Amino acid sequence: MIRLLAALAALVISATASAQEFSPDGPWVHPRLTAARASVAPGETFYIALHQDIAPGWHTYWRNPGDSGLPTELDLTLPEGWSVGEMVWPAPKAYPLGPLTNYGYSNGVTLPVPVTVPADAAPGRLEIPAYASWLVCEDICVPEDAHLTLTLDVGDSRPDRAGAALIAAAFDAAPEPAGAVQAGLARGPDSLVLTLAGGPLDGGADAVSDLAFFPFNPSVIDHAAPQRVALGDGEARLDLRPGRLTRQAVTEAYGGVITFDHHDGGETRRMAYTIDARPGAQVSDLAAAAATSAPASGTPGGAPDTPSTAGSGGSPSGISFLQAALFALVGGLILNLMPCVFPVLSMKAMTLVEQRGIERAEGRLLGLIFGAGVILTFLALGAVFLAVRAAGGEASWGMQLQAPGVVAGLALLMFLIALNFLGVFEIGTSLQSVGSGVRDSGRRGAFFTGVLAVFVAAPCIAPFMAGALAYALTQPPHVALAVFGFLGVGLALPFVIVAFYPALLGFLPKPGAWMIRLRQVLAFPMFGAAIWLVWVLAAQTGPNGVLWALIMLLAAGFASWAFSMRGVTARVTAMAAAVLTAGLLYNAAIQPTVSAAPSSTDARWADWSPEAVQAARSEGRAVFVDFTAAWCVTCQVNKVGALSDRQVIDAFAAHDVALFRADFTNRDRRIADTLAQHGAAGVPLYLMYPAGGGTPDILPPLLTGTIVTRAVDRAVSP
Amino acid sequence: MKTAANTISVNRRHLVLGASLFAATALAIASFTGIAKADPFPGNPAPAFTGATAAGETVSLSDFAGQTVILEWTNHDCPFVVKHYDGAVIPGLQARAAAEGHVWLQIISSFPGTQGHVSAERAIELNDERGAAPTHVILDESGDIGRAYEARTTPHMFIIDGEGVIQYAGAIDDQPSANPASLDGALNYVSQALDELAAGEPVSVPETQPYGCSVKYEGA
Repeated sequence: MIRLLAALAALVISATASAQEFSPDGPWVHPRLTAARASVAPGETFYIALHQDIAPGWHTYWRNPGDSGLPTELDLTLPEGWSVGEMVWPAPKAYPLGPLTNYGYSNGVTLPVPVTVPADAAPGRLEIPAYASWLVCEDICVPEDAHLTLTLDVGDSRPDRAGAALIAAAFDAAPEPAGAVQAGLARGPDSLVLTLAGGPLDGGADAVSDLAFFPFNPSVIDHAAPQRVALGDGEARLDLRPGRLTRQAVTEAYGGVITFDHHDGGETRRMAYTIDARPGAQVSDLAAAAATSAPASGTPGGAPDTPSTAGSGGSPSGISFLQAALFALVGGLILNLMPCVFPVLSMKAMTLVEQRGIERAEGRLLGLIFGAGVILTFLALGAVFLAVRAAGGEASWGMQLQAPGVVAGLALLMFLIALNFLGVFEIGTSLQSVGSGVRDSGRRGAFFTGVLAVFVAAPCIAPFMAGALAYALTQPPHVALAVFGFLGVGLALPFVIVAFYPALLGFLPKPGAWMIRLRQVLAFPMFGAAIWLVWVLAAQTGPNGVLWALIMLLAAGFASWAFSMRGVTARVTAMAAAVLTAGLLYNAAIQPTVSAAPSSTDARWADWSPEAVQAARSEGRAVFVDFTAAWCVTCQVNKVGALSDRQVIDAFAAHDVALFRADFTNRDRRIADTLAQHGAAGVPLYLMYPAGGGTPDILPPLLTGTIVTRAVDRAVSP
Repeated sequence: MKTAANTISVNRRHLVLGASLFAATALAIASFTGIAKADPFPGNPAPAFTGATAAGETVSLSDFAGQTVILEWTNHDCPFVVKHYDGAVIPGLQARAAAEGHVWLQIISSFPGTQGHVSAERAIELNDERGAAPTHVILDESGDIGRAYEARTTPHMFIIDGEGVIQYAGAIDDQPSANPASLDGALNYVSQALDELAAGEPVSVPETQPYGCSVKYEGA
């Protein structure tokens, strides 16, 4: 009854009475019920509001209270036929409490609800009882409640000026409706990525500061984790620590409010917009803000330890665009040295030796055309990857080698290049010969050598490229394509430099018989590459695929030999053999894939499955997982190198580390998902799960014994 | 032949350069690899901890290997905690846990000078007054255990199985309110999870949003 009287008294006091005295024993909120209208007309919709005057230092809660607390509630007891809508919540503030964060209001807040009067409402005076309850916290929390009553006339529509002013102020502080700012919420490799785009963000960092996101659902983000903000003109990106519902993936749309300070000339205004974030979408191409940047002041909490960056620094995808571009460039350079690429490019370089002293300009042009061929092919490959990704497919580097047809085709290509090097057949204006005097074909040759270089390089993923590609595959299209472009630049660079400065080859003797011999010698690495590809095929399709592939090579050899003969019969024979080769290639391609993987033959290693890993971990064992594939050169190097190292084997045994091998030689959805989860673009990926639980260590793509033994030590140390 | 040897030596130089670049990157990546942090989520191994009890003992989570362990973050003055003690919900669950051979650890992470921080004697006295009987009361003044579990509210509940894996984390029930009337018909998640674990079934609701007062860490 006292509360009721207090509430009625409060109604009498004008809206400016916010500096009321608070008793030192509480209550900490002085509530009152108010309305925008003193008298309402039948059929009208108007607002009734709960206004809270909050004691200094105390706060009440927003609709999502954050890590603790409760949202304020208001129940109106309305006459028959009247209806009430959803509460309008002014934009909240973040209140850090040590490692926790709350969302709410201090000093005072007005919470309006829309009420609709039925068309047949009887005129006259009316009392609307209400029950309001809230939690109010300072260092401690106190649940408070109040029974309040609003007196209202039904008849003509007349404003209540004090109530209308409070409610108008609440609407001013409430977020603009959804639509002005587009939003997407997607799971990044180690953060939850909220992207925003829209006119309100025009001007970027010059106009916008202290941007913060407040989700409606309390389980979408970690409220206390810093929100890393990157701003662009008309767009923004926030890297957040995921909450319970977004830890694995973002599967549904989540609404929320963004707030920021908008600077226009000398004027600063607090802005708030409702957003409806589309699941899995990215509406801005901005890269993540640097992890080292000071948390924006809008970041709620600013907890001393920043879990969003802990334990994930080793992820290869945690790199910036510049780093990715640099890695791609270096990766491309290293591709030049791969056993399948080096011979082709060496032969190409030899053509420059032959040309020495004549037509420097033409040589440079050929170098540039070659470079264009390489870069365009990489861009085309990149586009294919992006298309697969956009179509919802699993895009990982090396996936092209999961198709037996592609592997058999590459084996055929390597084999033919080797035969060509040995001189079994010559192509009219050979890819390697530009001395024919036919400039156009020379230029075409240079371009196709570039294309060829990329294709023969495809199986040889360099460790540098793993990070760059992982980055590329998680980025918006133009950034991803730029990374692919840099790979091309790296691959083309040495040859282009040599084309511009042939003097670099000055130590080589004059053209002569030695060049033919070198070319013949370089045939053998190509045969080697072909053997390796046939071995990959063996892992994919078993003995039948190998049989068809070898018969295909036989037919190709025969066709090459016949091609070098003169006369009509020879040509026809060559054509027939070539058709036969194509048929056999098709046959090899359609062989069903077999699951028996050669890598699972080592007894120490168990076949990988998420359940098996979980089971081993629940026994408290440290777990090491090798994500590998027969077609992955780096993986094979690590397998016979670091992972077969005596010390490593001993370390695994001594600490009872559970060893699992995941074979990605053939397509596997679960492996692809797991790779993506850890930000890897493809194999290899090495995970070391600590014995005490928690997120795994990601080891570098190129292992050494020490790297592995150190990781084991870390994983088993408490 | 001399020239071929030249070519090869150049290649070797390139290879050495390439190999050093590989090694440099490998080192760079390795040095960035931080120590993994155990996230206190259901399905993950429970973070290990050692704490001082109100009875003056020192207990570690590992002491209870093989037993189901229930962690309860508490603050006796928090209205949400008061609701569950006055309504005999938490004392009832503690009695049930003891009867079934489980270990109940009541943890107080309030920083000295904040609400809920009590002396060891007072902690024991409070439980006697409330008819509460946890296996141990752990005084976590530094908040280290609370932070390891990312305990946010009082109450905030965890159930750890005999293998040391977190099986439940979150609220005590589905009624986020301090009003005692909300206990009527509430679905108690802890009770449900213990039933399911006893029946050898997976926990149907392994994680919920905890509700209550904030845990009073240092700086809160």
